[in-house]
Amino acid sequence: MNSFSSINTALSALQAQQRALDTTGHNIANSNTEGYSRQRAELSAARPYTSPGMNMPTTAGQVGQGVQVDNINRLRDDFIDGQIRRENQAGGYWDQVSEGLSRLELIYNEPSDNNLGNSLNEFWGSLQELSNDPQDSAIRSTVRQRAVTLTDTFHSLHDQMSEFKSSINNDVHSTVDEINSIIERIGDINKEIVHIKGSGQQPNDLLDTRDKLFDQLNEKVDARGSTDSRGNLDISIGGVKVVSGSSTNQLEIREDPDNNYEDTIHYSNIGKEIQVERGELKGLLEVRDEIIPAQLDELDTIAREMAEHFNRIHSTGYDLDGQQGGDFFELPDEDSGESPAQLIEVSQEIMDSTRKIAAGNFSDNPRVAEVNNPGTGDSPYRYRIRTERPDEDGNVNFTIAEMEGDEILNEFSGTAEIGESFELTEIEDAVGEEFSGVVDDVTITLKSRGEANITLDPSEGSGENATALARGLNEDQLEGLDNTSVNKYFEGVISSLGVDGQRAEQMVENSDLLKEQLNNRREAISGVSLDEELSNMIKFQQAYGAAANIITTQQQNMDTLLGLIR
Amino acid sequence: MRITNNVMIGNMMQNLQHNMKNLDKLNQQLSSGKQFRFPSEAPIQASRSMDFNSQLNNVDQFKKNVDQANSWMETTESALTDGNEVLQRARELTIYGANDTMTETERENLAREVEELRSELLAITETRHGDRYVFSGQATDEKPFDENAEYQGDDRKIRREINPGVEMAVNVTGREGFEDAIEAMDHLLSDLRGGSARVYGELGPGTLSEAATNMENGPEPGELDAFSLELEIDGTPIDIDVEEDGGDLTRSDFVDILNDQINSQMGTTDETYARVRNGNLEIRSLTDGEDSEISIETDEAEPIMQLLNFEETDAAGGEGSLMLSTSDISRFDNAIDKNVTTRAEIGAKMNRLDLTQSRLEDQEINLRSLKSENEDVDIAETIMELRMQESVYQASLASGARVMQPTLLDFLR
Repeated sequence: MNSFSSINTALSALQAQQRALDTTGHNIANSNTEGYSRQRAELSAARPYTSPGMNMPTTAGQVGQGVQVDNINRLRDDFIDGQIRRENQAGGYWDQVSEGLSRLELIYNEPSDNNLGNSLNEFWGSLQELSNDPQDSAIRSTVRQRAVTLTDTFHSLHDQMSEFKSSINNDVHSTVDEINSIIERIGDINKEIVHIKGSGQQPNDLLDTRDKLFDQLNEKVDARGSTDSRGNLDISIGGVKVVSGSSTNQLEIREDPDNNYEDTIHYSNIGKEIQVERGELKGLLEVRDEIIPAQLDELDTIAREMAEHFNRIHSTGYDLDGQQGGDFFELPDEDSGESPAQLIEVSQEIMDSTRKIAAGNFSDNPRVAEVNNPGTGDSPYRYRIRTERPDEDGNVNFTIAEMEGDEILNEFSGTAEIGESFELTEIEDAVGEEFSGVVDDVTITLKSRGEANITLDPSEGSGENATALARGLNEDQLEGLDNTSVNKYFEGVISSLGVDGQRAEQMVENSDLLKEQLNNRREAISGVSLDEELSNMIKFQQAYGAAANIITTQQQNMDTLLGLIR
Repeated sequence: MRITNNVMIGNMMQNLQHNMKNLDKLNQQLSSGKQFRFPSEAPIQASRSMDFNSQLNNVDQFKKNVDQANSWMETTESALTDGNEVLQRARELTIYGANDTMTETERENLAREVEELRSELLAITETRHGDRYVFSGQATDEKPFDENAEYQGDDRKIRREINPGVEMAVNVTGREGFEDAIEAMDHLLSDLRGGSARVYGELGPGTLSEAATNMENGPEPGELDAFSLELEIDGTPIDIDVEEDGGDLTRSDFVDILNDQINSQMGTTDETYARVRNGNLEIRSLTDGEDSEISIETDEAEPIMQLLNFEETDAAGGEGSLMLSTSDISRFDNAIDKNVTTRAEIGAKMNRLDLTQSRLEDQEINLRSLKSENEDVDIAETIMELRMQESVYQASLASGARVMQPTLLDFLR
C-alpha cells in the first residue's frame, strides 16, 4: 500500500464519473431521438488490493482500488418490443383497409344528391312521367337523358374504382421498395454490429437503429426476427428468410399478365409468391384483390340484373310506331367477361329515336296479364281477361273473352299456372275454332288477380309499359339480386360497405390506442427523462468534484510529507 | 411506472388530438346540419336515409300523378256536363216535336236545330287534355268519332299510379260517354227527316266466314265461297255476283264489291249505296223521300241471306208519315241517365284523388320529419356539446402548458 494508490483510486473515480457524465450527456442529446434507448454506464468497484506481507497481512482488510466502468448498457425490454411490432402489423393492416373503404365511400358518394341512388330515382321519376304522357316527345327525351345519366354513373363508378385499384397497385410497388430498402439496411447494420461486437464493444446506437428499422418493417409486413449469438438479426417473411446475417433476399414484383392491376410479389431467390398475414402490405393487397373487386362485382351485378330485367319488360311493350320494344340497354355478352358496369349503354336504336321507347303495352293492366306480341300486329279484336285469386299452388282460374265493342263474341274459362305463358292459339284450339281474331305467336302470361283488356292494335296513348318499367326499378324483386329490388339492393351494398368501414375505423382506433399504451411502456423503460438525467448529472458532477478533492487532499498530504525533508 | 417527459408530451398530444377530433366532428355536424357524412359513420342511419330519399322521391312523383289525373278528370267532367246540356236541349226539342203534328217546314227547322246540337255534341267529344283526346280510350291521337259518328277510339283504360301499386283508371271512353247520346240524336234526326228506303243486316268485323262462325245457327263458312244477291233499287234490278273466295272477304271488301257492282248496273259512278253503319251492313236507295224503293229478291234460304238477315225499311218522311214517339224521348232519358251516372263516378274518383292527395301530403311531411330525425343535427344539443368540448379542449391546452413548463432545470439555479 503506497501513498499514490489513493490518487489512482481518485483517478479511476474521475474517469468513471466522466464516462457516466458523458453517457448522461448522450442521453440528454438524444432525448428526442425516435427509437433511442437511454444508456447507462454500469459502474462497479474495482478489484480490491490486498497489501502484501511476509507472513500475514499487517494491515486491516483489503483496500478498494476505486471504480471501473464495466459496460455502457442500453435499457430495453424485448418483450414489449415484440408486442409493439405485432401491434404495428395489425395497425398497418387496418390503416390500409380503413383507408380503402373510406375511399370507396367517397367514390359512391352516398348519401348525397349526386350518385347512383339518385340517378335511379330520377330515371324512375321520368318513367312515371312517361306513363302519364306517353306520346310527349319532350318527356321521351327526358327518359332517354336520365337513362344516359344512369349509364354514365355506372361508367364513372367503375372507372373511379379501377383507377383506385391501379393506384393501390402502385402503392404495393412502393411498399415493396421500402421493404427492400429496410431489408438491405438491416443486412448492412448486421455486418457492422457483428464487427463491433467481435471487438468486445456494445454497439448500443446501432442496435437502436436496427430495432427502429425492424419496427418500421413490421408496420409494412409481418416479419419474424431472431438474434443469433454473434449479434445478427435474421428476418423471415412468410416463413422464408429475407435477411440472414449480412446477406439479403429481396422481394420482387411481377407484372400482372392480365393487366388487371394485380401484380404479384415473389422472393427473388426462390421465385415463390410471398404470403403475408398482416401489415400495410397485407392491407393493400386485400383492398386491391378483394375489397375493390367485390365492389366492382356488385356494380356489375346491379348493372346486369337491372338492365336485363328492364329489357325484358321493355320487350313486352310497343313503341310509338307500334313495334315491339327492342333492347333498351345494351350490355356486353355474359361470356365475354367484360364488365357490364363499364360497358352498359342506352341502345343505339333509342339514341337514334325516342319513338323507340316502348311505353305502351298490349295489356292495359300488365300486373294482371302480360302480353308478348312479337309484332304480328293489328287485329281489331279485343280480349278481356279476368283472373281470380290464385290458389296455394299458384294456379289461377281465368276467363278470356273475345270482345267487339262491349259485346262478348266468345268466352273461354280455364285454369293456368301463375307466371306460365300460353299462346292465344292454344285457347282457340281449346274452344274449338270459335275465337275469330286470333293471331299466331301472341303469348299471354297471367300474373295476379284482376281484369285486363288486351288489344293487339297499338295506340299512342298507352303508357302501361312505362309504369311497368318504373316498377322494374324499385318494386320488382329480382332473383339475381337476392330477391330484392334494384334500389333496395343498392342500399344494402352501401350499408354493408358502411358497416365494414365502421369496423375498420374502430380497429384502427383500437390499434392506435394499444400502440400508444405500449409505446408508453417502452418509453417508461427506454425513454430519457430529463429530470432524471439532470439529477444524475448533478450526482456525477458531485462525485467528480469529490474525487478531485481526494487528489487535492493527497497532494496536500504529499506536500506535508515532503516538507519534512526540507 | 416510470414517467418521462416524452410520455407526458405524448399523452398530452394524444388527448389533444382526441379532443380536436371531437371538436372537428361537432363543427362538421353544425356546419353541414347532418349527423354524418359517410355511411361508415352510421351505416344503419345512412341506409335509412337512402330509403327515405327514394320514398320521398316516390311520394313527390305520385303527387304529380294525382295532379295529372285530377286535371284529366276535370276536363272529362266539364265536357260531360256540356254534353248533358246538349242532351237536355235535345230532349226538350223532342218533347216539343212529339207534342203536335208539325208542318214539313217546322219539322225541317227542328231537324236543323237537332243537327246543330249533334255537331256540338261531336265537338264536345273532341275535347282534349293537352294535345290528347280524352274520350278515345288509349288512342289519344285519334278523334273519338269520325264524321259518320262511328267510334274510332278503343275501349282501353288510361291508368295512373297514385300510390305504390295502386292504379286508377282516369278516362271515360267515347263509347261509355257519348255513344248512346249520338245514337239518340241520329234516331231523332232520321225520325224527323225520314230518309231513303234501305235494307240492312247485322255484320261484324273480320271476314264473312268468321262472321258466319260467330253466329248462332249461321251458315257453314264453306257455303259462302260463291254466292249471288238480287236486289231491286228504285225499280232497277241489280245482280251481285261473288264467284270465288267469298268467305275470305272482309266486311269492307264486301262493301267495296257491292258499291262497284251497283254503280255499274245503276249507271252511276262512285256513289255510296252500301256502307257500314252502327255495326250493320246497309244498302240504300239514293232517292230522297217517298219515291225511294229498295227490296231484296233473293230467296231467304240462301246462305248469304242467312248471314245477313236483311231487314227492309220503307222510305220515311213527308208530312204525317212519321211521328216522334216516346221511344225518342226515352232514348234521351237513357243517354242523360248514363251521362249523370258517369259524372257521378268521376266525382267519386275525384274525391278519392283528393283524399289520396292529402294522404300523400301527410306522408311527405311524415317522411320529411323521419328523415330529418334520422340524419339532421339537433342544433341546440350539438351547440351545447360543442361548448363542452371547447372547454375540455381549452382545459387540456392549459394543463398541457403547465405540464410542459417545469423541469428540474428551472430549479437548479
